[in-house]
Amino acid sequence: MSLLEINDLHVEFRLDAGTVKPVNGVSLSVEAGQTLAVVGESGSGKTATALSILRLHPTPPCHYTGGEILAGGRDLLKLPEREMRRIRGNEIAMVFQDPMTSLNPLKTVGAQIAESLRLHQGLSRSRARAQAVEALREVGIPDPGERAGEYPHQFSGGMRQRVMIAIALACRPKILIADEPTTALDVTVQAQIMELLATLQERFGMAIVLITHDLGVVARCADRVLVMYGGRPVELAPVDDLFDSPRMPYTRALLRSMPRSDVPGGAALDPIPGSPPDLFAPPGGCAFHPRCALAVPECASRVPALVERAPGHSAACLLEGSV
Amino acid sequence: MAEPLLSLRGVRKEFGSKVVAVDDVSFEVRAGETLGLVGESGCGKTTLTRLILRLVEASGGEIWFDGRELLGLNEKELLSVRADMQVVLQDPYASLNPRMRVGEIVAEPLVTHGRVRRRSAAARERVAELLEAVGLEAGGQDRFPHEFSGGQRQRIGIARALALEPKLVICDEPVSALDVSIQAQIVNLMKRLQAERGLTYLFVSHDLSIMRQIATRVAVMNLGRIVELADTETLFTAPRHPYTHSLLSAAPVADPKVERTRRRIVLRGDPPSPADPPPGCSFHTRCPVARDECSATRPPLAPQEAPGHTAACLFPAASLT
Repeated sequence: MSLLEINDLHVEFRLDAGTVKPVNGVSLSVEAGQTLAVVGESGSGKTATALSILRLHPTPPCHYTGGEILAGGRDLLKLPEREMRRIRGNEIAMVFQDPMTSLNPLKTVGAQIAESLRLHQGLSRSRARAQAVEALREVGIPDPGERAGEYPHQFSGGMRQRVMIAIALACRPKILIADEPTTALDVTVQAQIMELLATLQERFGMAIVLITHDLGVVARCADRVLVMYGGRPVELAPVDDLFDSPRMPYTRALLRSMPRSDVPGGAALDPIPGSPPDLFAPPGGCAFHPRCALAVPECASRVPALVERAPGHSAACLLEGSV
Repeated sequence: MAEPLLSLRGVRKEFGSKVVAVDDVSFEVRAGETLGLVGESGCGKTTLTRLILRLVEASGGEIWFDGRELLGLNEKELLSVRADMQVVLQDPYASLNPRMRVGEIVAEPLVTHGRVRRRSAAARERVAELLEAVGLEAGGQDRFPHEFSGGQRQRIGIARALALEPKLVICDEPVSALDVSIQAQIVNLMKRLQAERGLTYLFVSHDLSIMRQIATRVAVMNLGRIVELADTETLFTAPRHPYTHSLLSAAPVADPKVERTRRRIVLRGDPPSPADPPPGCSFHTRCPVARDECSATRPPLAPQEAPGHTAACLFPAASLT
């Protein structure tokens, strides 16, 4: 059973410069113990989708104009703000990309973990403090008792991201949304954090929605993958199917264009021409058609629906089946 | 073997009394090659590029470029050398002046070095050639940087770097800020320009997959020191330094089957602070195969089997698993 299910979500930002639609008809679901990766380039709508789950976009300018986000039998888009606050950091938690700007520099890390435990679980000050030390131990921070009394600047980048994960997991959320959790980290530290998330997921059985631009991270961590482009979902598949037999031309081109560290250099790379779409002036029809080598005239006028083409494998392309 | 265009000998940079950002670094960049410099944040790779450009002053050592020693040059002499040594920076948003038109940005080095007059017909003509060489339309020179996408801005930065027909281009993470689908465009462009113009690149990156696709040879830096240097295929297929092994093993590969089957070395602990480096080998605190000697002796770069392959390890290993 899905812990989180999004159906046909539409989000608009009404800005002075015009209205942009960063999320157009996104549907996804994720089950306990599973990781769904949402992958895309800048402006693809992946982070806008992630922030919508916890309704973290300020209104105005953001308006949730359609769809539903189902978790625990409720539609999160319909809940009053007060109930939403009970869900954030409790049932559904989030880890952000930049651990330096996401932590309060004026509070000890122990106090920051204890805060959510006192708020959501009603623990006493001393119980929350003890639990915070335990949470730091779980994420592999040495001397947790001592380090709980230190401030974020006294931690390295990797250790700060462990603190963020400790805060996120302190209340044992059922769902963890991780937005580029390792992007700001060095590669050896990134490997440590990915391993930590996998271990904790196995132990607590939470569902993870992993937002990333990095197909290497997807290959290592994900069970299923949603590819987004220009605010729309364009392909959804189990991870092996996506890499073995991508069906949307964008996914195919993206995989071909990636430089790989396990393949000798020498040959020229195979880039995608052009640039990702401008959200203020999106192309008509399929957002990828101006860059697509296979596009036919119809691609400029018709938006292809995301249709299931094989068990669990959907793609949004008018040409699917004919190429 | 080609003559070295750039040669560093025992280069050192201290910040304050505690931080040694670059520690006794020696290597050569041969004419026409791409030397990759790879390492994690804080390892000193960006400081090293600034030392070569003399944007920061070295604390010791020698830097030879095209037959001249740079550290002893005065400002005027330096200006003439800099025409042959240009730079492409990481952030194509921060590295182009938003108030200047693209034509002025690309012509600026030419004007500074007295090759053309500002806003002259000659300047426009030269800028048009340069923009076309990097795959932009010549008409773009009347527009401002904000009218261009990230990838196009990086092309403008490259056009500016090529304006003076330099011998050496120092590239500091030139594709790291770009979208995945754009990175390959820029890598291909840089390779093509190198072949057409006989350029030499010093290419700094933390990204091993980009490195393997563009570098002729790769130097691995850790905590201010070069710990391994080899031609690219040797470094990727037969590394000897445990730090290089760890970097290669940590980098995720975009193939779920490879990811499931390959053995990974996950390091314990944090990278040490450059302000408080460990004694002996700078990697021994995280090294999975460190022995007692490693905390006492700093290993020098020593030759390995493959020609030109050096590694700074007391116990170099073909494999860690």
